[in-house]
Amino acid sequence: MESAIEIVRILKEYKNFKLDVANLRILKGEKVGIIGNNGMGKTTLLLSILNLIATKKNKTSLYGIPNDLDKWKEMVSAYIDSSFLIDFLSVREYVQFICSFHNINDSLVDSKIEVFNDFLGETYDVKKLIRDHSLGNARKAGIIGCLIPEVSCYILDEPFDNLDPRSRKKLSDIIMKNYREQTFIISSHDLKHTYEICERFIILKDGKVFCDCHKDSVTESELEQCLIN
Amino acid sequence: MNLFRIQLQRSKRIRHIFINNFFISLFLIGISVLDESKVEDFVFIIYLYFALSFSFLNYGLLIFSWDYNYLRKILLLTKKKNYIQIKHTILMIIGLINTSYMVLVSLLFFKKFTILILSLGIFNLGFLSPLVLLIALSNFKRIEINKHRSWNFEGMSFSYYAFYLLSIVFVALTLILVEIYYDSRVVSCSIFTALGIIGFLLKGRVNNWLSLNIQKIVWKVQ
Repeated sequence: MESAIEIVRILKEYKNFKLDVANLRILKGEKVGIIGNNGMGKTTLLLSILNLIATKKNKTSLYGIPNDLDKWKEMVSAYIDSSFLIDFLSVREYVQFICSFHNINDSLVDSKIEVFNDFLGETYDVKKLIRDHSLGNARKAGIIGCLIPEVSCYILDEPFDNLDPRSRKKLSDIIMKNYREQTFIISSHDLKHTYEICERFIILKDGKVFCDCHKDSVTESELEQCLIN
Repeated sequence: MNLFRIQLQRSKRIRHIFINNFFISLFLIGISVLDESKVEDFVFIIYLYFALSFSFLNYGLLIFSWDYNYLRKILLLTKKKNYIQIKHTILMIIGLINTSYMVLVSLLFFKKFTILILSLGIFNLGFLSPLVLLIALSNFKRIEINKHRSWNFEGMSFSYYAFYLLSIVFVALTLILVEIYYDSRVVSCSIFTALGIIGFLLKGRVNNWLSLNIQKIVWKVQ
């Protein structure tokens, strides 16, 4: 099977920490959960894949295109943190702005957003700017901004953080129901929903891949135990 | 481009730059009109040039800083080259509006300077705008656009002012030296226009270079 993301080597060094990931392939259509305790390099790994941080070594390709080129951007959508939000826009304007890069016009955006109505609540229609929303609602805007373009691969960092239990469930359902064919990389501490969505789990420990396993070979509680121990 | 429109509407700071520029240019023109007999020609022109360049330089030198807070997302959405081209176009539109305004003013008040103002406008658009982008790229700082005051210097550093002054000194020196050696303003106009045209011709190459280097800026985003 063809790979969506292929990491030959990513090496990122901080003063007290080193992320060193090599020979990692994520196949097209795979849903991968990146799991690890705080400071184990999950976000750094995602940012390195997207070539958004300087690294000592970064030989990664997305859909066969090296990550220092631009062509793969048409196929990948991501939400990492609040730096992906444009805080002086309303949620509607933000989503419309993102869609304009994917040739989705405003009227089409309104029909596409219906899938997310339950998840978003009234956040989409109010004129409030993103910077005036709560952390949870701002994160919802970022997640929708990531999910609404029709691309082949979605990368989400801690998508369940700051969300209420109902919204977590809704998000998990939306991904499972509407994105069956697409590749997903989700980094999260929320094992319950990550386990629900993903079929493969990569556990990071001290900046290295500690374990790379499939859903049929590991249970949710085993994953939890792995993180605790 | 759409984002720039909303930035202008929502960012009080960007709005202040353009409002300040309007009043400063009015003030400089006012002085020029009132004191025409007392002010030397070239001082007069520098006044006009200063007014012509003010918002163009002030906005342009921070052009990447305005986007700093969400630069990662922007550069994930678009190709680096497209992003630079849009920024260059925005800068040129601002320069074009400034130039049109100053040419109109010079036509109304100081007819003998119209061609010089026009050539300075071409110099600003063609030569100075890629240079402004180059400087803006090397002097990159996070700016909170919702923080505002009439005179907010957040994001500005010495290199900005040095560049600002250098561009004015260059124009002034060219004018003075050409007047001394050739006693002709047409030569000055030709120099400014020629530099502007060279800048236009090299625009593509400069943009390519900028798009290669914007990645380093993204890497610095915290």
